Amino acid sequence: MTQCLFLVFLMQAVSGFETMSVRFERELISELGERDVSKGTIFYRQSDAELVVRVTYPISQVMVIVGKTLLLYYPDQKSALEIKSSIPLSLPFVATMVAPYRANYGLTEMGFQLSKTERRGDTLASMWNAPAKGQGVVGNFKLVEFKRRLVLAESFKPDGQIATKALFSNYRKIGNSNIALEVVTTGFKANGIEIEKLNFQDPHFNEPIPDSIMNFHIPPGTPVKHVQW
Amino acid sequence: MIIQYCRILFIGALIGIFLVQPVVGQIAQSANDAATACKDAERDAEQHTSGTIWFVAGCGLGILGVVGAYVIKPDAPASKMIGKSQEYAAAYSDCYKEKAQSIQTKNAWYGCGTEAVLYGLYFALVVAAATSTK
Repeated sequence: MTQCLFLVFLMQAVSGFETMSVRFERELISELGERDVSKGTIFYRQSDAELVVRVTYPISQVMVIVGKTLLLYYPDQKSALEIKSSIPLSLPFVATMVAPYRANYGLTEMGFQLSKTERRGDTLASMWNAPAKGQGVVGNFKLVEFKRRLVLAESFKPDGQIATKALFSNYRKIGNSNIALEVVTTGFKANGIEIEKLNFQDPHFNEPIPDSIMNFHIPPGTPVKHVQW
Repeated sequence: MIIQYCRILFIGALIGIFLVQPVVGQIAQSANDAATACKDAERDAEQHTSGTIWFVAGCGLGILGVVGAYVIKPDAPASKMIGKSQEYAAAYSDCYKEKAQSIQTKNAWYGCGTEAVLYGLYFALVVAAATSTK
C-alpha cells in the first residue's frame, strides 16, 4: 500500500522518466507485534510496466511482476515459483504504475471525485469521494499537502472508519522535484494496527538498467513450481 | 576391535552432524515456513475478504451469486511475498486462496439461503391470503 502510494508520488513528481530504480528498506510490524524486515532495490520500466524487486535481506530473491504473472526466483536455492493470476497483478505495485503523470496522485482517474478542499496557510487538505462503481467496497480518501509536498494520505472504509494512514517525510530534491524518502503507513485492522515503515535511498531516474535485471530470465534447468490463482 | 568400532561410530556421528543435520534442519525450516505462511494467509484473507459483500451477492443474485463466489478467484497480495522463502510464498498463496474462497462461498450460500427463506415466506403469505379470501 505504501510502496504503491510512494511510487505514484515519485512518478508524478519526476515527469518524463522511462526508468526508475530505488533502494528500499521495509519494516512491517503486524497487529500481533511480529517484526518483518526486508531490504533490496526496486526497478521499474515505464514502457512495458515491468517491475522488478531484487531482495537482498533476509534472503536473496528476485521478484518480477508483469501483467498477470508474478515470478519469484531464489538464486541461492536455484529454484523458482511462477504465479499466474486470473486478473492483472497490478496491486499493490503495478496498478499505480500504469497511470504515471496522473493528476491528484491518480485518484481522479481511479474515479475518485474531489468533494472538499481546505487551505490554511501553506497546508492544503482535500477530501475525495469514492468512485460510484466502488460504492460499498472502497471508501473516501483524504490528502494533506504542506508547501505542495504530500505529507499525509488517509483512506477510509465505506462505513467511514479509517483504513490506512500514510505519513510522508524526509523530502529530497531531485531535479526540479521533491521526493519523500520516508513513508510510514498505519493500517487499522480488526485485531489491531499494522505498521509499515519504508525508507528509500538513491532514487535514480532515466539511468539505464542492465538487461540482466529488466529482462530477467530464469537460468535454464531451474526447477519452477507453477501456481494458478 | 573396540577402537575400530568407536572410530566408525565417531565418523558416523560426524556425518550425522555435518551432512544429515543441515538437510533435516532445512526440511524442518520449510515445514515451519509453510505453517507460518498458512497462519498469516488465513489472517490476511479474513481481513481482506468481505463476508457482507458476498452475503449481499448471494441474497441479491441468488444462485448466480453463489456461482460467482466459486468462480471469482481471490488474489493474494504480492507484497506479502517480498523477502519470503519459496515454501512460504507457495503455502501463503494456497492458504490465502482457500480461506478467502471459503469466506466468499459460505457467505454467498447464507445470502442465497436467506433469499430462499424470504421467498418461501412471501409465497406462504400469498397462498395463505389467497386461501383465506376464498
